[in-house]
Parts: sequence; structure tokens; C-alpha cells
Amino acid sequence: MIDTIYIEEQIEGLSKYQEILSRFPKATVITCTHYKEIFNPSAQSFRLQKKKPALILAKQTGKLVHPIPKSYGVGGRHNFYFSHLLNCLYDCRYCFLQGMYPSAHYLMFVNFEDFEKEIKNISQSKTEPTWFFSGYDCDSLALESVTGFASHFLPFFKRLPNAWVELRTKSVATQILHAMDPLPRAVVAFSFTPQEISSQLEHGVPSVKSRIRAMQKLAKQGWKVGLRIDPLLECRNFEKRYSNLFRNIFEKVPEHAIHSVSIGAFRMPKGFYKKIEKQYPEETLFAGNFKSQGGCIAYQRQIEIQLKQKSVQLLSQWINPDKVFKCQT
Amino acid sequence: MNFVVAYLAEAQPVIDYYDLKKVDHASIPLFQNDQHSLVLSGLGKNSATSATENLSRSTNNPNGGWINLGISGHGSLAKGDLFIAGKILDDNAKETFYPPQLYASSITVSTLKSCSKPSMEYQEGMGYDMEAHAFYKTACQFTTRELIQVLKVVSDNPSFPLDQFSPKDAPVMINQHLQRIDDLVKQIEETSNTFQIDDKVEEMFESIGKIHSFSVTRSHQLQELVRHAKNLNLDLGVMKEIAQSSTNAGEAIKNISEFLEPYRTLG
Repeated sequence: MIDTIYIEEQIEGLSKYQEILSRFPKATVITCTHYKEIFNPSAQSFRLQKKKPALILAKQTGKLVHPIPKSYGVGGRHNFYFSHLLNCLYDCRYCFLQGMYPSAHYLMFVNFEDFEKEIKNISQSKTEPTWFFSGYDCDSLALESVTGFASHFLPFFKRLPNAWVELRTKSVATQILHAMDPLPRAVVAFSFTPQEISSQLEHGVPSVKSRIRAMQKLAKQGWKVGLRIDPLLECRNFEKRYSNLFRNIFEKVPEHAIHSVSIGAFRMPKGFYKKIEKQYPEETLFAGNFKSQGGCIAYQRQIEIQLKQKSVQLLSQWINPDKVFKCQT
Repeated sequence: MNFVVAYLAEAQPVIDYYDLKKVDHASIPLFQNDQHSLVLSGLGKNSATSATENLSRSTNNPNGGWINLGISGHGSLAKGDLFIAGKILDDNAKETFYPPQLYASSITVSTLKSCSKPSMEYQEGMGYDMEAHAFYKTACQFTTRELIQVLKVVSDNPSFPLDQFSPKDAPVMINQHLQRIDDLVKQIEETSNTFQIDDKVEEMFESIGKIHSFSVTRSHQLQELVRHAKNLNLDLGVMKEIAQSSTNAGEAIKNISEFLEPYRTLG
């Protein structure tokens, strides 16, 4: 899967680096002074690199844990995100990462202890529950076999009395979660679009059916699961498709196991959108009913309202509306 | 493919393999056929920079693939081995290049250092040449890094130092790797072709563009509308009819936009 591994010279002594390297005995290893030499240069094609991404192992410095935008939470007052990994195993055409990063290589930060320290400090400075989201710049579980992220961080979060962690994923690689007792303050959140849309736009992503199965299995084990309907996408037979999706999920996953549902219509910073559209000029998604508003490309306001209202209405047949959170554009 | 090669002795196997013809009236030593161009750069960084710039002006496809091919010293690979540069250093510049390794190939990946003068240094795992860094830096101006690669055949190493190497051996050394080089060339070209502009969109855009006088801004709008129509699997001929029945460019843009509106949704 990974043929080339770039490593920062400064991390060569770290045990995490040795552990990861041992999983790829045939990979070509190339050293670099700083990951930015590889990740940041101009004249790179995200689209081409996505065909065969390399792995970059590096140390992240500076601020490691960041506040999330106000409208993105799922009920908590204090919300942060952190990224041990930039970029994703999957290739979803609507994903903002394609526009945000110049490179599609997997950039993994191996200094987990530094992340832990900062998370712990933030958590201890708050008296109320504090949320930490781990799947903003990557899929939290899809590359678990490479990163060992969940197996490392879940025991850590278990020891923090007021810290909640969200793993956000489209993966069915949930073995690591089955091997441990459910954490009371962890939510395993699955992202969905209807299968008809997923087949068109979510390249390499497991089927909706298999993700529902993974969700069901986790719920049965006692894990809190989440549902992320983000991005919500205008499509033919919108009501029928989303209605089917919700029915398929809620017929398998009991309402009480679902911690939260969040809904957000497709939106993206204009610069990212333009960059992605340039890379994929043939993509149907970018011929959608979008408008530029406030530096963002999003559905025309009326369409966005309709999509959200309809989704909330469909969801209300299955779940308490108090558990549904709307992400604002 | 655009080849930049220092000397004729290194280039001759490629010229023969692709049946490239010398371009008689070119201001640079240029060999071409319909698909490939090759320039002889001469020795050193400045020569490599000039040759790459010159070739970008003479080739049919400056945004396509670029390869710097030649011989080099190496600290650990055997004489005659072929390698591809995964990291390119320069003895006088801070910038380092990491050509993305996307292609299925059995070619060994190695670090390469471009030196200002011939080097007798042989560090473990390091190749030595005099052009690759300058070539790569220049070629990055014309295309994306994934399409630019450096291939070298080891001419000297600690067991067979540079002073024992005869340039006459170069064609034979390169010749034995032509099949693998060609495999890579094909992969790079195939990748490069994914960037080709959609002919149908271009044709229709140009055709509608002749009906009215479109300003620069409206031309961009028109091109986007035609592209969207194609992506939505609509009959592009209808757009032309709408443009023909419109009285001016502004009205054509408005009418075509309105026509597309109901179709702008995912299937």
C-alpha cells in the first residue's frame, strides 16, 4: 500500500517511528530535514499523488490542539480538534482536504506524547466536559493499521475524567474498538451520504451497508455512535434516497446508542473549491447549484434551507430532535 | 516526453530507440519525433538550466513529462545499475527536491547530489551528477513535479572510480536499460494525458464564441457553462442553438444559465 516513506531526520530516534517503519519492510525510505520540503512546495498535483500517496513521518511543533468553529459541535461547550494525520485513505470528491493541502501524501505526526500533553492541559483547565475531535484533517480509523492512533489515544482519553473524544470515520476497520471495553466518553461517528451518491463521489470508501454493519456492531458492544450527514448533497430523488439511508441505519442501530447526529450542507472556502474544480474539471458535483457567499462556496440559501429542513424532518421519525445538530454555513 | 541529456554518447540510445530526428534549423541541439523531444544540454548546472528552458520553447508539450537521463557516480550501487532520483541535493543550494515516486517500477530509488565539478566522493547511498538539480528546478516551472523524473546509470563507484571510466562505454550502459526507461516513459505520458483538455468542450466553446462578441469575463463564464453542460451529460448542441437565438453575448450567457439551472443536481 505504501511504497515510499519520507522521514524527518529529527524523529529517527523515536520508538513510534521504528514501529511504523517495521510495518513496511519493502518501502523506500528517504530522509528529509523538515516535512514541509515535501508537503508544501508548489507545482504538485494532489490528484496525481492520490493514486499512490507516500507516507511522511514527522514531528508537529507549535500549537497542536485548536478550537473548532462555533457551529460544529455536538452539544459540548468547549470544543477542540487535533490532527495526528493530514490527508485521508479515501478519495471523496467533496472533501476540502483536496483544496487545503498541496500534497496528497499521508503526513503523520508521530510525537503523540506532545499531543497528549496539550490535550491534558486543556482538559484540566476546564471544569466542564471538553470535546476533542480527531477526524477533521483525516479519517480517525481508516489508517489505524499504520498509525496505531486509536489504540494509543483511547486508553489516554479513558484516564481524563472530563474529556470527550470523537473518532470520525468512513472506515469499517473497527477491530481495535472491538478489542477494548467501550469508553464512556467516546463517540465513534460515521459519515454517510446515500449509496447512490457515495458510489459517485466517495472513491475507495466501504459501502453504506458495511458501514452500517460496523456501526451496529459497535453499538451492540456498548460504544456510543454518532451519525454525520455532512456534506448533505442535493441530488435526484433526494427525499427517497435520504429517507432510505436513515431507515437503513435506524433499523439496525438503536436510537439509544446514538449519541448525536450532525447535519451540514456542502460548503467550502472559495479558494479550496476553485483549486479542486481545476483538478477535476469533469466532475458533476461542481456543476451544482452553488453560489459564492462570504468567501465560501455553498448551495443557494433557499436550497440549503430546504435540504436541511427535509433531512431534519426525515430524521425526526427516528430520533429525538435534541440529538440533531445543524452545522451552519 | 521531453528528455534533457548532457552528451550525445548518453543520448544516442534514446535517439535510436525512439527514432528521433535531428531538427536541422533549431538553435539548440534538438532531436524530435511526433511524441518525444530530446535536447543535448552539455555539462553542468547552467547548461542544464538553459537547455531545459530552451526545450520548453521548442517542444510540442512543455506541460507533459520531463526526464533528465545520464550517467552518474554512486557511493554504493554497482557500475551499470540504473537508478531514479528520489531526493536531489545540490552542493551549493539549500533547496532539495523530492520527485514524487508514483510509478510502478523496479528501478532502484536513490538520493542524488548535483555537484559543481566532477566528484570523486562516494558516500554510501548517494549518487553524483552535475545537472539534475538545475534541471529539476527549471522543469518545475513548466509542469507538475510528478511528471518530472531523473534517471541515472552508474558510471563510477568506489570500486571503479571516475578516472577509470571511458565515455565510450556510456551508450552500452544506457542501452541495456532502455526497456525499463521506456516503461517509465509510458507511465509518465499516460499520467500526463489525464490533464488533457476536453476537446468537445473546447470545440463547443470556440464555436459559440464566434456567434457573439464575448468579453474576457463572459468568455470565462461561457467556458464554465459549456463544461458544466458536458459534466451534466447535456446535449451541447442545444447550447449553441440557445446562443444563436440570443441577441447578444450577455443574453446568451443568461439564457444558457437558465437552461442549465434545473439540471444542476447529482444523478
